[in-house]
Amino acid sequence: MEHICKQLIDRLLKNGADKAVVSFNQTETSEFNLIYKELNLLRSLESTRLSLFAIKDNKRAIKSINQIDEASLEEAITELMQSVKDGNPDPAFDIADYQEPAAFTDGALEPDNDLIVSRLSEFSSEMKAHFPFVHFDASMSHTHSKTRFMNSNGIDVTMERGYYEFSTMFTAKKDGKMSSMNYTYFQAPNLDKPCMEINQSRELIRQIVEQTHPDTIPQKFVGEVILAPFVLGGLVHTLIQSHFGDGALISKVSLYPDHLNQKLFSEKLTVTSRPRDPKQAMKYFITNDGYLASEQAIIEDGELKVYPISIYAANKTGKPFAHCHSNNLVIEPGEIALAEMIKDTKEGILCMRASYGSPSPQGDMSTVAKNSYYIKDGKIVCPVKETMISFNLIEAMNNIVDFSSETHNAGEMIMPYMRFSGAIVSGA
Amino acid sequence: MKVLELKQSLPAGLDYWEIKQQENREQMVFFLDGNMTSNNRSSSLGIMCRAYKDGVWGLASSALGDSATLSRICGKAASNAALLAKHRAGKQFLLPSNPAQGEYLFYTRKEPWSFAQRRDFLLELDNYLKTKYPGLSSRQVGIRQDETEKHIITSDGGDMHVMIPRSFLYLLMVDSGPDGPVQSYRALGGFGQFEDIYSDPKEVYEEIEKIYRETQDMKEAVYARAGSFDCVLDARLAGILAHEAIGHTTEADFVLGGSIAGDYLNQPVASDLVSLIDIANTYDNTLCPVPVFIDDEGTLAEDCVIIDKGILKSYMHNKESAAMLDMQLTGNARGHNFDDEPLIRMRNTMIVPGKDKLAEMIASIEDGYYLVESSNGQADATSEFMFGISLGYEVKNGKLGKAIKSTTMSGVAFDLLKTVTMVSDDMYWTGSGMCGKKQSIQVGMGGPAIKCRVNLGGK
Repeated sequence: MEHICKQLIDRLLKNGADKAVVSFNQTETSEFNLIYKELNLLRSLESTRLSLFAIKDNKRAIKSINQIDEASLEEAITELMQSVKDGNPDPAFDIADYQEPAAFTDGALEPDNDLIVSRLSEFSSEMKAHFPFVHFDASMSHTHSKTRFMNSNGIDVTMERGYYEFSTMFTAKKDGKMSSMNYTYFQAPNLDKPCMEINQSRELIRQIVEQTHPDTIPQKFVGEVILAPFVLGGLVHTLIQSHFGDGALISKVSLYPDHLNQKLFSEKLTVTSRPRDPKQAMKYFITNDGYLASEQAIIEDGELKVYPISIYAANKTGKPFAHCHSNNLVIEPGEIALAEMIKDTKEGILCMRASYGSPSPQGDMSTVAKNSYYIKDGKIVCPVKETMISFNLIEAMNNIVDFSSETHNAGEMIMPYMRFSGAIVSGA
Repeated sequence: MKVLELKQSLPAGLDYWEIKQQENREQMVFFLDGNMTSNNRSSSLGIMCRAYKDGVWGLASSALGDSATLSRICGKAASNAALLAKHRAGKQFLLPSNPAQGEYLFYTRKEPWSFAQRRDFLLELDNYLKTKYPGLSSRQVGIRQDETEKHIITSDGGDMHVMIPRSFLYLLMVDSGPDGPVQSYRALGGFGQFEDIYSDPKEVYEEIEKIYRETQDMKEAVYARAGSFDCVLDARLAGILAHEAIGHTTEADFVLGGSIAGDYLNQPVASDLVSLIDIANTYDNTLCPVPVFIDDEGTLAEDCVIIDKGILKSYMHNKESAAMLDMQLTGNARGHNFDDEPLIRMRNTMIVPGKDKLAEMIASIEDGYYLVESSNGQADATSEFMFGISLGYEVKNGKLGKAIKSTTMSGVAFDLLKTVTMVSDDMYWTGSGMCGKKQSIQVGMGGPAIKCRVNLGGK
């Protein structure tokens, strides 16, 4: 890998590039699939990805291929340099400055296929024994990935990692009634625990059976919503991308283009990107530009602390670039248990899954509450059907009531439950 | 793609196998406010073998394309099937067969445009936007072209070589409204290479004016009211209704996984005004956005009539689901990348046009909405669906009112389709969609405008 990357940087410079970046990745994956409740498919994948990036006279182009024979490399270089030549100049294009070379290794690099089969079989047996009315598919895989990232300023990072991944999708059918489908997933450095015991897998599957008899909410109301960890993670990521990311700032759709160190949300909200959090299986070691990634609070006590943007966006907008992405987000747990949150809710929805479109630039959005529950006077009344929650995402982050003490670790984010007020809940 | 001789590596002793060589190619060029923000090309080429033995599948793939690697991955696929068979206790099925052979290479017959010509096309459009609408706070124009080339042989005689291109022109306008930024967006184009679809930027000016008008309408947008309303879904929405709300529930793997559609075969599921078909490749003598002639299992791709005048008639299949449900093959098995196993995927799912006029449909609404553009959609095994609505208008006493802010529309498809009272006589295809079901894959979707009752999010 080192030889190919070095050689390609040299060849790009010799072909006229002022600056060059090469990223070379090789991955091996073993993926076992349970389909219609039975082991059905085993995939063994070998993949390669080589990305070449060049800047000349402030013009930039990117070429990505997966063939590394000499003819393919020569063709890619020629095509890339022609694209650069035909590009349009923008002085904002740049690459990362020199930093000390670094190497990272993480996770189990070799798959334990026997253990994968054992964990999947165990999951399947338990599903069939304890949840006979649940239809399900599941897959478990191991990925071993090696990446070398170099640029012409001397950046040189080697990354090697291995991780396991589990996902399952399920729905229940009983007495002629059926539930919505639900799913859960995680990435993990090992398979020490049964899949059923990780995060909320068992509870979600238990819930799916009772969700075969959902009901409509009695009337439209304004109330509180408790967002499940996966739902919260998705919404926080959407919020950051919609207002603080490259695209939002460059295309001027952000409501907060010049708001560093300003309080935008409830002081209860702190969102941190933890690229190398030992608790998370899917670490990232460098930014897309190649800088070593470091822990960074994006929002701290409701204040915007950093725009998680690239060198290009930073140069376009005059803001500092970040040493983090909006990935591996963590919200610290609160002090109240989910059960207490529910007890403390006068009227609301426990939103276990959300199906929603993109929020408007102002943050307005509506989501269908899936696999969710109606709460009245501190008690769960019923699973709901055809229920819509309308709210403004920015207002929601200002109307936070509390975070739960329970968190879920998907291997790429760690989130608690979050309760907020002021949502409009309507039925069919 | 240099086509390999795949037959040399035939594995022996298997119940069924397929070998695929595939290359996906993509080019993206985007300008934002006159700056070229994307100038990217990518390609991904490789080989895959999938083997079926004793009721289970083994698959192996590699980006390398030499004969030694081909032999190795074929052996690995067979050994993967053998390994899995040791742990399998389920029933085994004899896979059905309806093989086809053919070559379908849709390279443009026109002089291919250089990268510089495409760049200049975009720059002219960008300059037009900048000059004609100087008040916009931001503008974006872009081209994306993807090409999928596959060469597949199967043990039951399937043999195909296909190259399917799609090209899209993206337009985005951002303006400042009283409540902050508003935006309108469109993906134009579809099947074909760029030269097959566009020749002059002026051809797009009329569509640009529509997008600009929508942006201005959004400045005055009001909140939709939350609740259930009579609505007209524009033809631009019909495709996603066909795909998300109905289509997914009738993919046979969903049916085997418990989809509600499994209970409704040959029963009324919609108004008799509704017919829904997954078109293989050609509708009304025209190639659809994603034409499929032979699927990735070498099966002849045929139209699948899912709903005929309100009655659920059939499901979409691959070999395994057709065997399990004892139904006819439809040719819906497709994989997106070279290393993807073929899954049951829709091709070009459409609602058949009716006889009503859009204007009369809107005029018939007393208090409801005209929903025009969708941002995304999701489906459920129950047929409950959700679409993000990025453009819509109030309708009061049969007249269009103010635009509404982004909202979400939902419903239970098999209930909603029973409320359909009018179907327009026009037809609109959307070809830019990518459907995410384990793998993201190109799909076409289309239909006419529909009057029905739906749930809306809002104030």
